[in-house]
Amino acid sequence: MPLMSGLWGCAPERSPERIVVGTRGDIATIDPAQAYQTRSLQLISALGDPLYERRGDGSLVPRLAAALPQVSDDGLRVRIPLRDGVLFHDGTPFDAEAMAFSLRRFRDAGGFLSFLLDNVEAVTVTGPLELELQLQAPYAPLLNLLSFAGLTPVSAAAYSEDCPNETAADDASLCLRPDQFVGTGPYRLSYRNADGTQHRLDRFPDYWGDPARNEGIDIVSLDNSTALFGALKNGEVDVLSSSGLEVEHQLELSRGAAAGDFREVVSPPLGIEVLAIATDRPPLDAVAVRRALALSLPRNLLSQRVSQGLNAPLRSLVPDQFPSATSSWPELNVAEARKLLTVEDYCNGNQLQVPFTFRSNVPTDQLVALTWQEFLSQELGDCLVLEPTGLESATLYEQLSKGAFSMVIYDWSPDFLDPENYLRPFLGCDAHTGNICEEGPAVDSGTFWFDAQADALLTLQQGQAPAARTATLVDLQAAVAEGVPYIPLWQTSHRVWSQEDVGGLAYDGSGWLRFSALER
Amino acid sequence: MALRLNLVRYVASRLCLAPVMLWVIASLVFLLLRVAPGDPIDALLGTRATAAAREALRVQLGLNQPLVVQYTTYLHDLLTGNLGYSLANQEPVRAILAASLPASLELGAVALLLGAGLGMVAGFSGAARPEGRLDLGGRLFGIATYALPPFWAAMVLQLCFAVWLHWLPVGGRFPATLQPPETPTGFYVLNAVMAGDGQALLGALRHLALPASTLGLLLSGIFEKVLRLNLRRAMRSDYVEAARSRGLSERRVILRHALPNALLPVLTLGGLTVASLIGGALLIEVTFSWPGIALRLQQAISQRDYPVVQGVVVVVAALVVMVTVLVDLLVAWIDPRIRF
Repeated sequence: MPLMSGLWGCAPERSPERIVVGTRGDIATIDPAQAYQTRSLQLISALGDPLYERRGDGSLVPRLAAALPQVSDDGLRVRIPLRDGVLFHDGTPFDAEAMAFSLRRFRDAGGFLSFLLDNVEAVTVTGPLELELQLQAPYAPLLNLLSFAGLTPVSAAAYSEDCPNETAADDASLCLRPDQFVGTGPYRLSYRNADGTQHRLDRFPDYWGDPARNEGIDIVSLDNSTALFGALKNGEVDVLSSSGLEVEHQLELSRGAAAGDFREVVSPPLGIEVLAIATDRPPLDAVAVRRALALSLPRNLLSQRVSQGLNAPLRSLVPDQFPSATSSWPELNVAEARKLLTVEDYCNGNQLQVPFTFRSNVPTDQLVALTWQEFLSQELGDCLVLEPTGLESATLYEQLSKGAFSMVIYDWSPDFLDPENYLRPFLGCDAHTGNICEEGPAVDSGTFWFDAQADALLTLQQGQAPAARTATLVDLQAAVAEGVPYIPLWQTSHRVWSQEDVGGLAYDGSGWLRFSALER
Repeated sequence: MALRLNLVRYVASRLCLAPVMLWVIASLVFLLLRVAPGDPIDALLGTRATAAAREALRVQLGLNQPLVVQYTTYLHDLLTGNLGYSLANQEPVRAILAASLPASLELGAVALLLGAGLGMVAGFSGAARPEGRLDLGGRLFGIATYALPPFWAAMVLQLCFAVWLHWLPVGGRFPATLQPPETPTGFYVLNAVMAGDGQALLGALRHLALPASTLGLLLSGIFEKVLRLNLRRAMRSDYVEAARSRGLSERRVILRHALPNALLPVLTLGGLTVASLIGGALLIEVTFSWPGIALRLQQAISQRDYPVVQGVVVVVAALVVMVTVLVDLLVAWIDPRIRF
């Protein structure tokens, strides 16, 4: 006690011009070609610039590009003019060669998300400040993809051939040390500790755009929700994102914000949580049974009981920030569910038993399972029995494509903000027999569902202009809702809180917190 | 001569057993990781990568080889000191150990000093005046701290001293606004002292205070009980009675005759505690976000990061075996009964 009180008055001095941001978990990599975790991409978005920035209304504005891209009539060539006068953090100029290097590296380095550029056949430098992408097929989501933080350029000089895997034969196999990021963004990385729990960002004085409103950002990674919550409460951190915070802590901070203790900003909905149903085996191969499950899901009750209203109920696979979001899935209707089950010879003493697997290390998943189970036992107890089983997520994801689960719940966060990125990862199918998908995303997501109409619509929207594409995506969701391989549960938003004296709290259109706008 | 021969024989037997123990541990870790469900390729590429990309990575990482080949390669690498690279971020396992192990050792060392000091003061006070108020208080303290669930105790202390009183940071190892002094020890407090950086020293001490105090408090109970019991037993022994009968003062009897003998089991306990702390105190590290070896190991297990798990477990096991052998030898050297 005397030791602790003795250290109380000895806190190190803090510069008011710098902002401390808390995040959960260490940041293992900041190589854009390898990074996939939200916290890594958030950091990359502060250290670099993408070609385009996505606005809140879905429109694109050029960042490192000088203008919007020119797409050829056949949709196979995309020409991108680049901004002049941009410098990397090491003082070297940014040009088309540098951008092409980063795009090729992203595609070829075998990273978690490298498949996003599978459709890009070639990246050609057509001038000092112009490059051209050659596509294998027209790809409407490409424009939104070009705003993805992972496609931010890093100077080739930052890469090393001293790679652990001893295969550094080409650009793709070069390595980027986690403390060597040389980008074009408003901040440069001045320090990273050995375990990736502390990052120091300093304002880049030669930044081509509006300079950051603070001198720098200090990012501290803590490993649990309670510690992060406490760090904001006691003023250790100035800004805290909801990513990785327990629901109870988020609610407490929101209450604090309502009482004027903190500032709070909520992002547009970004993630979704769905129930995936294996459609390739009885009894859930019957569409009527799957529809009965969809009709018996009490979204509003689950949203209130489990997430305390933080997660909004969703009856679409696409969150409602996109025009293509439509409530295609049915609302709760127990009577209709009973009718469908009765037609299928259930009820009146014949109960349908549905195994339901959830991630045991995600508390909300378990609460969803238990609450729904209890709801069904009260409302449809004579027809439908839910049998929840928890499984650690690593094991669950490994078993998903092997058809181990009749019905399973998981969440999905997009790689980049485009409606297709909420659909293809669930519905894509590379090989099928009849209505059973045998290879592709539908297998990986555990439904094994194939529908010729949905597949045709998924392909069609790739080459369409925005308005027609939106209509196609709406039709596509209607087709999926008809087949019920998935039942959307809710959509999730990011939240961020800051101390009262910190202003400029805002998300950009891609859902990244704007570090450069923060000021005290 | 016979006495020295016995000691040599004892030392030799302990040293010969150590490599066998390490081989068994290394083999068990290898096997258990491969038996456990979960594929590291899923952890690295997700489920959406193409089959070709998955197979290419499997080949690159050597995971396509038969288990026997993987096992012999693993043992060969271990013997040549090559611990490999993390599957998750390609960081050398050696670098991960260099960053995390000193954090755990720093926390463990300070906690052990605090815990042993506190426990021994409480145990000694109680045994010196049996059944008095100090003894009763010490026994209650011992039982309470020994029985406290670490996770709960850590959270309560964190809540009191960090969240409510704002005296100390809630977690982490160093202030976000400062840069730790770059010296090779890996111990921030020592680094700050060596660099003569007062701000860094204060920052490191403030971050260390709460986790080390919590862990020390939890360790103190067992030290209190062991010292109290052994000191009381020693106080009733013949040699203490003999010392008293020679007219020595009670203080001299306790400090010169009873206490040294009562400290032998405490030394063994201290050695075992050091051995257990080398692997980190997981619950304390998790609660206080202390970037130690236990926390890193937990993350590696959930990511199915085979090389990190294997490397960390083998190195920690080696250190534990080493410390255990050293403690055994120290006790044998001090206590002649062990050698016979």
